[in-house]
Amino acid sequence: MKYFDYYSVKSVSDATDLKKKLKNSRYYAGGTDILVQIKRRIRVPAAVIDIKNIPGIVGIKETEKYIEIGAATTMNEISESDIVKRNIDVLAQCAREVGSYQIRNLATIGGNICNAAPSADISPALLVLNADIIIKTQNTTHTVNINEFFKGPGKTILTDESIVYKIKILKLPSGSMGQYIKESRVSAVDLAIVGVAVLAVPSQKVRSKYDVRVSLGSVAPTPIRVPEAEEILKESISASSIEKAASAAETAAKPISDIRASAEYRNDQVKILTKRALKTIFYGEVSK
Amino acid sequence: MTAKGITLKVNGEEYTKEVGPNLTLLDFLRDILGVKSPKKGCDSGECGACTVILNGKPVTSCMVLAIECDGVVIDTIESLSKNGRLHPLQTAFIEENAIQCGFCTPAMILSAKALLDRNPSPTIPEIKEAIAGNLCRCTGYISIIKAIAKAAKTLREGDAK
Repeated sequence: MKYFDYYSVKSVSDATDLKKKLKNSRYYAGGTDILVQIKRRIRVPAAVIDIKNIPGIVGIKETEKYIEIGAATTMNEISESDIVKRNIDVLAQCAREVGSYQIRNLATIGGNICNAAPSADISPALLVLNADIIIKTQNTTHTVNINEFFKGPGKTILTDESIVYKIKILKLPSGSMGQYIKESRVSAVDLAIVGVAVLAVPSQKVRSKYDVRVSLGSVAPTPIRVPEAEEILKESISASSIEKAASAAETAAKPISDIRASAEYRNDQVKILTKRALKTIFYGEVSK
Repeated sequence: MTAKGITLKVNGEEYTKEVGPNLTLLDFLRDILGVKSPKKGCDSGECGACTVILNGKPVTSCMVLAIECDGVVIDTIESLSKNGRLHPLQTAFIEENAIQCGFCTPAMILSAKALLDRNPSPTIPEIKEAIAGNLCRCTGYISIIKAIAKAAKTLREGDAK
């Protein structure tokens, strides 16, 4: 493996100081993306800065209104967390789809979004949950909504020494239902060919209506929401509106053909999986 | 930092070594400590043959740096048998013919052990999910799944570990 320096820091200020000082350095948590990139010589930093010991950057906290997840919290910690499963289960579903059980003991939520693959499994859940990303620099803390976070494949709004510190999610009202469906070639250790997350939040005003959110992964330069589908479902939930919403999702998708699947296949799967996910949450388990 | 002394426990024994940054835990175990049971299959975290138990959790050791392992506890398959007596998982793997070339086996058994430690009565889908990160090119997995289910039953029925 090519040489790189390793530093472990115990505070955000130490992390940002070092990041600013060391040219071509990267923050390091689970290492499951960075080490692969180093070994394959895709991207070799001069140094990695291990941020796992920064206070507050690991762990899941529930407050009255929010769930706060440290950026270096692992996928298994998220998928096995009672707090997450009870309140925002769709996030646990996404976390569970990453890699393998072993990878999920290392891979972190912050790493997944900072690596910013369009296929990142955690992204569709964060999009439908309207998660806020808490970012720290040397002197500031600011919040960016996840829907503004991704700029393109591998690209985020993060600059220079800014570090993703926490992910903050508003708790859902009871009766909320979410589903993530990942289509991949094999059942584990595979990128999503298509990822669909749907989340239905019961309307606080009209009993039979839902605020439904739909997000797609792997079919655009970034993970996306589908407002056209969401508008259709806001009006009514029926076999017909679900069909229309699934078609709207297919239209919104702009997939490429790559080694995993053709664009045509991905377009088809967007419609099928959106329909399946919506039917699952509104009508119960759908047999394939 | 160019090198750091780390102290860690491996299969119950404590070791102190100086390591550089660009050394994986896998290479550390195999090349520095001579623990050869974790295997370098893909070196990318995808095949699972390098799986070790780190602080009670199964991880792909090719995706962990030795330099971040100061103070950790590592268990590999060598720690499974006590006083020459095989663990029920090892016995079940033999009985069910779940070993052919053996390359995936140490890691596969560790993933299985980690599963049974957290879930003593796994369903078949749960077994499959637990070993989804461990590739086997020989057996076709059926014998492995049977072996794990069998060992789970043995352990539940209270046979000595």
